[in-house]
Amino acid sequence: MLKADQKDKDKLIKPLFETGRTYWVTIAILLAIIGWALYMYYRQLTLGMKVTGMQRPVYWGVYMVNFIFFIGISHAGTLISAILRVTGAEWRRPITRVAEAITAFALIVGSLQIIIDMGRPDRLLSVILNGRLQSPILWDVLSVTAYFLGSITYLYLPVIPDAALLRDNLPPYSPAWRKRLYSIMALGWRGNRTQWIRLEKAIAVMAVLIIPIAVSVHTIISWILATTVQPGWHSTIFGPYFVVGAIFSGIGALFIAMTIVRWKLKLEEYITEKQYNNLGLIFITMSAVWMYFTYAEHMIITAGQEVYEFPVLTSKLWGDYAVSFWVMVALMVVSFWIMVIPRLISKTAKRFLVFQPRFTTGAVLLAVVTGYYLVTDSTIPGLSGINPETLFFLVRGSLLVELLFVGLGVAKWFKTRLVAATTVAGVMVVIGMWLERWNIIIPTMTHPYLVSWAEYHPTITEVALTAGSVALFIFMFLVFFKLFPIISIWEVAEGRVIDAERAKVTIPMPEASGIKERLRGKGIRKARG
Amino acid sequence: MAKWSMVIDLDKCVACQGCSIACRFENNTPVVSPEEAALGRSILWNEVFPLRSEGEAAIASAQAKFLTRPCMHCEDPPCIKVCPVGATYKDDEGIVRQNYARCIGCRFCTVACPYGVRYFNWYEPSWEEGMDTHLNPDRVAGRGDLEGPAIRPKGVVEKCTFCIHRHHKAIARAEAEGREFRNSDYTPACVQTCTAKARFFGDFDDPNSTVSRLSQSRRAFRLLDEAGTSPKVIYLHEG
Amino acid sequence: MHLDYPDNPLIEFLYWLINTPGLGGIMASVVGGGILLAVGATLRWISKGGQALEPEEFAYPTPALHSHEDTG
Repeated sequence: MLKADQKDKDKLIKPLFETGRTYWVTIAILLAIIGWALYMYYRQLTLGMKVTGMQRPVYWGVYMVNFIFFIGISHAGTLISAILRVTGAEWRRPITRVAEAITAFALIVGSLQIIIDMGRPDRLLSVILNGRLQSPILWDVLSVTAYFLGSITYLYLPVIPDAALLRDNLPPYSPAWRKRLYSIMALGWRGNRTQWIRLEKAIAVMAVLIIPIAVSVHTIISWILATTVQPGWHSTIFGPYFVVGAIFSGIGALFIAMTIVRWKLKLEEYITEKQYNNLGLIFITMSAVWMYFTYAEHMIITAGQEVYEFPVLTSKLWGDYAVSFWVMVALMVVSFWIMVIPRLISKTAKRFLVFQPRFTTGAVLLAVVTGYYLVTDSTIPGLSGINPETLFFLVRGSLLVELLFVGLGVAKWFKTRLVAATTVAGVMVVIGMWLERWNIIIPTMTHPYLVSWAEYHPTITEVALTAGSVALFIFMFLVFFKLFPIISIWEVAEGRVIDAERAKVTIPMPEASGIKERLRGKGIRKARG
Repeated sequence: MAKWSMVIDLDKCVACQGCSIACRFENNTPVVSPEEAALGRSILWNEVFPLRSEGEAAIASAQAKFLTRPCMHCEDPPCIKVCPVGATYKDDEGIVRQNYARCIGCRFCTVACPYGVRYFNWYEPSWEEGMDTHLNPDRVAGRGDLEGPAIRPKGVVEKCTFCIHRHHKAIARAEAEGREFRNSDYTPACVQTCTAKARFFGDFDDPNSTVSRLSQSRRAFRLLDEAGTSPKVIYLHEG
Repeated sequence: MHLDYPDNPLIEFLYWLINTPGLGGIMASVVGGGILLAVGATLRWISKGGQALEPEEFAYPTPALHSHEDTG
């Protein structure tokens, strides 16, 4: 008999057996969306791919965007649990399970996109029977298979002790099938020394193995595009660019999941600001690297003077895809801003006028007015005498300054609201990364070499299947966490013990090293702790 | 072993689109409705279109240069490299072929081809009443193979095959007549029908064939040579 | 422009390897099957660990468990 902590019992085990109305309503809504998507997919099967917005030359559309996007999201789990486990970051403990679940489910939904996109899904098995290793699709089959099996195992291994805990700590009113489920899942877990040591070894090996596999997965997905000679795709930067983007969007998705779970199950004691803060720092790094890659990719096309790549670039900068491109850039810049600037502002910043709410409100109002004049192109009263060219820069310049002030005010507001800031940034990045995939695939598809340039508008079928995919992802997430604790109970308990042990250890100050003198020189009298 | 090649003299071409039509009837290419065609879903193994650089004004004033474009049957075809199942392949005589029975419809080859010669069946092909009884009965079929003019199922990719069934028929006829197969026995439909006699077809490896001699012309060029595909369709154009 | 590969049996073999339909599937099956076997073996190994004659049971790893690690 394994005994769970009373706190874990109340906070983590009890919610598994008590289901509120909101849960069932959410499940019902998700099932309705999935049902709609299934019907639309059935139509696509019977009528053919003509129900999509795809055509010649836009042979790949939203399905391919979703594929790259979801596989990208799946990189959340690898990063958090594997890299943090390998480097021994203690704060990872409460969020590993959520991250690993995102990986497994995003991979399922992502791989599904390929089947949805196939003209002949009935011939899927042909990829195995007639698979040719020269095709990047086969590389994908290999690496996604390895990644999927690996991440399912990686999700399951830490579940074993928790399943045993659940088996032994079931509330009296739980149905019999649950006892059976946990007994099977626990694989006869007893929790003796040999089992623990073996489990920890297995997890440690998996954590190391899964990192290169994860890197290979998104690299190979980028190579599906980069191994063609299409304008804008044939680039060596795509591999690392996609991997960074994948990890970036994965953390974004993890932030959203963490916040919802924390808020719904009231897990503030488990998922603390520390997780948000530390993960936020990784997020900021990824954001910076992503921006660097994005800049590099477009910069080199600009300098390359390639007649076929230029139209792709200009369609993004000021052509058909300017909206999706600049919205993406804006989302990334704003998310970076609300993650970085609040960390830089002093707590006492309220002394300054620019950080006061009334100033920000004023800036918002001014920005709205300026924006209105800019969009409607109407004349500004009192300024009709000014040279139009001067006015052009004046209006845009003042809008920029106003937005800067709004940004500073917002940053001050987010200063004391780390969770809110992080979650907002997560949402922005998830949307931004979907747009990024769109901006990579569609402009190249619509601007091919010889075929006349085209437009692409997704149809209701594609919208339905995208919505259905997102719904399926959330559905799997909800069902899984109704059955298994959202936080790895044993890992958090282990972390508590480690913290307690650490708190006991005191390191005496070395007398002879001169550290004391140096500290005193800096005005510090006693070492803390 | 011949290396089949085509030469198209753009200075002779009158852009009558006869090649497109001949190809359609020879290869049972499905007809699409005007609505679907406007969406970019028409299937023309041999497409005739004005060059993009010419612009609308040139087309209106009948000054535009037109390009007639079959499959290039590249020596280094990007489409074959990306096919996950080997549904498209280059045969011994250099013809890039497509097996409808094996294609999984992933459309990687259509994306990889820089010439846009590959077409996807967005829906079940259909013909108007009366037309459907006059389809070309020739087939290139075997166990797990379905090629050439065979009716395509929906969801697969199709493309110009240099009328591969005509090649097979020419060999069979020579055999039946008890004689050696001559290269001149085999001609694709677009070459046969060309109004301006602008198309030539033959063995590129034979230094005395028409295509070999024409390919030496100062007017000869290959489409998108910079893509590194080594096309076996050679264009002739002044300047 | 056309890449002419040298007449080398190794290069010919490698080209055959990547160009033959079916070999990719075999490779995918080997990778997938290998991982499944390895995972199965690992899970069995962990499960079998429960048969060791050790009276103590831990709901989670504690320093008490780890302090014996070098001896056990």
